[in-house]
Amino acid sequence: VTPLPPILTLARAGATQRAWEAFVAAGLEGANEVGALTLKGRLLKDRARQAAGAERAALFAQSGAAYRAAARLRPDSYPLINAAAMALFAGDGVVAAALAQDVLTLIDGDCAQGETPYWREATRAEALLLTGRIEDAKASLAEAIALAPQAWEDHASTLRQFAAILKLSGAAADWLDRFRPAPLLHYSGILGIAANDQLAVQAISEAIARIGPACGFGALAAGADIIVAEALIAAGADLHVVLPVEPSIFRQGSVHPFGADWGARFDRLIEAAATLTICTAEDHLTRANVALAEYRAMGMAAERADLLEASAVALRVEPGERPSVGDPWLASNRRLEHVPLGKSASLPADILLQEGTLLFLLTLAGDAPHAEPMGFATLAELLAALPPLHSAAIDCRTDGTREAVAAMLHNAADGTVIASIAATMALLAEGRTTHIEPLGEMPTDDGATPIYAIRLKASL
Amino acid sequence: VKHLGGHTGSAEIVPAIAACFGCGDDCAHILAAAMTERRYERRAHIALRGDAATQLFLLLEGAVVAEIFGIEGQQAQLTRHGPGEIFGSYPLPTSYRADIVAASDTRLLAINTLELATLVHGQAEIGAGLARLLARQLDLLLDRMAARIGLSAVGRFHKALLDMGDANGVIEPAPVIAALALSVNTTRETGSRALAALLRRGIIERYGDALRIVSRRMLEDMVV
Repeated sequence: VTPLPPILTLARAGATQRAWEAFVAAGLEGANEVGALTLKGRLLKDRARQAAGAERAALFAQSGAAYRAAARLRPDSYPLINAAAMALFAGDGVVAAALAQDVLTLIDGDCAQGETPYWREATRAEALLLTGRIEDAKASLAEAIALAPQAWEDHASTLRQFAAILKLSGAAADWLDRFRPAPLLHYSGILGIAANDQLAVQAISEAIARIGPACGFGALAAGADIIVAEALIAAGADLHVVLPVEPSIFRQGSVHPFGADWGARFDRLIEAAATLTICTAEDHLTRANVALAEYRAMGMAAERADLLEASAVALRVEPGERPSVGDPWLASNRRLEHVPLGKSASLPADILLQEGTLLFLLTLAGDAPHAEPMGFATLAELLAALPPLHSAAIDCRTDGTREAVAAMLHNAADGTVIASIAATMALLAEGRTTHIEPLGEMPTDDGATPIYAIRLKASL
Repeated sequence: VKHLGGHTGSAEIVPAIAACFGCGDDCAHILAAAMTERRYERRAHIALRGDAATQLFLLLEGAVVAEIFGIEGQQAQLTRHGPGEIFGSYPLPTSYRADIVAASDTRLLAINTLELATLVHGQAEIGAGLARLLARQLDLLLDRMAARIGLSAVGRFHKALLDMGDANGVIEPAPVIAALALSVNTTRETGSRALAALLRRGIIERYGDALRIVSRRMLEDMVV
């Protein structure tokens, strides 16, 4: 059984030192095999990114050496381009350019090089950039993207790498922006808009045209939500519906009381949605599960934006100068567009929601066994109670249960913080993380929960 | 209740059974002929505690929960079964130890316990398939008890594709996505979305009536 996957899991979780120790303990440091050498290159690169000064340069150089050794065993543009980039990060532009030239020779001479058609051309573009041929690199990158115009995740990897290379070279990087995908949108707004309010439709459609989102994330309450969702579909953007409860329950509580017209529009949008996410198994709407779903939708937009190197924008349809105080998006400092609109229809008398309780839960390594996890009303309070570099697990729930967060903790490796998907999306919504990494799913009695390793912003 | 085996829907049922039991089409046809399809709306009771359990169920879509009531009447969830999991009785009829409730709109295949036991005696392949399902269910249960992080649904789907590829990465014929998804305990939607993303990025390509893994390393990297 190869020990590589568990080591890679540790590396993904951000347990950089522990991953390296496991790699050494498995006797792989001197291994002369492509898989082990490629992993070694990655682990040393991770360590370099956490180091400073001469140690940082030395680790990048060692990472490059591991990738070069892998490429010597089997001529392959993937480790070789990494070796070239690591040489540049180690401060050796001459070696970087020489290795990049080797990459170009390899690609030109072997049509099977490159893992996919996109990566073949994007690797050529990176090699051209490392040899200082920026205009050729631009053309090559454009060609790569034309080969796989929807391989957005791969485009994003290239854009991140190019930005780092250009920064080190002191060259302008603004030309990369034209390769970035359209923004990702989170939307929310008021109830109480008349079903035939054309002014509202026009104002919202204009906002969507101004932002030009690739897709939007949000709920489908009667009023602003549904009008925004319809405008997204009309503009050719994907709609990702995120509801606190099953659609039939949501429809009954937040759509049906406002009139039959809205019900039919809700049904059509559910049909047209690219994805539907249901956040809880609860059988009625509460303010708490609505808030949880809003966090989830905001987090999904932010996660996708980070993954694709795009921007995330919030659209708020509300009266007044600014959206309501307490909007989690405000904490993230991301762009927020406001469409000022007031009610154009009266609210039915029977739509008052029960409160419910949204609780952020924290377990710390070293807590007494069976100690009750701590509960907080806000993420800011939770993060204030989390000591730096301390292993911890975070959850976010509306059902009052605390078992899952306690059970999660033993999956948190040295000094890492792990979080359930609900908590991860809330952290993303408020812009509290620098990086999230999916670790897999933890099975629980009420279904599998995706778990993420979280890197929190240092200021917290 | 809709009878299968040659009736409408069997086209997708047979690959689903074959994928879950890990058996060939002949065995899957035999099982399909002995199975009936059942659909339940969300919150519908499939069985009540104490009811006679005379069937084994294979869950095709949705989810069911087993609910028990404590001494003071408080409701607690004993367990939950998702796509590709089995519940009910085997090898003999017994009685339900909990209420079985559909957690969402749910589609099941039901087979009479004694009839399945007879089929197992006559067909080693069906017995092997059942052992495989029971072993996977035990793994799931132990993972739940240990609160262990395992692969995500998409990660399991990626791994299944890797496992199916030959030395050249070719999967021929192309798998039935709903069935493959079920065999790794996830939904058709999740499987379809995962495959669409792989095709979009060029990590897998269509190759006549087959699929071809273009980048094994990238696909391996996505087994998370």
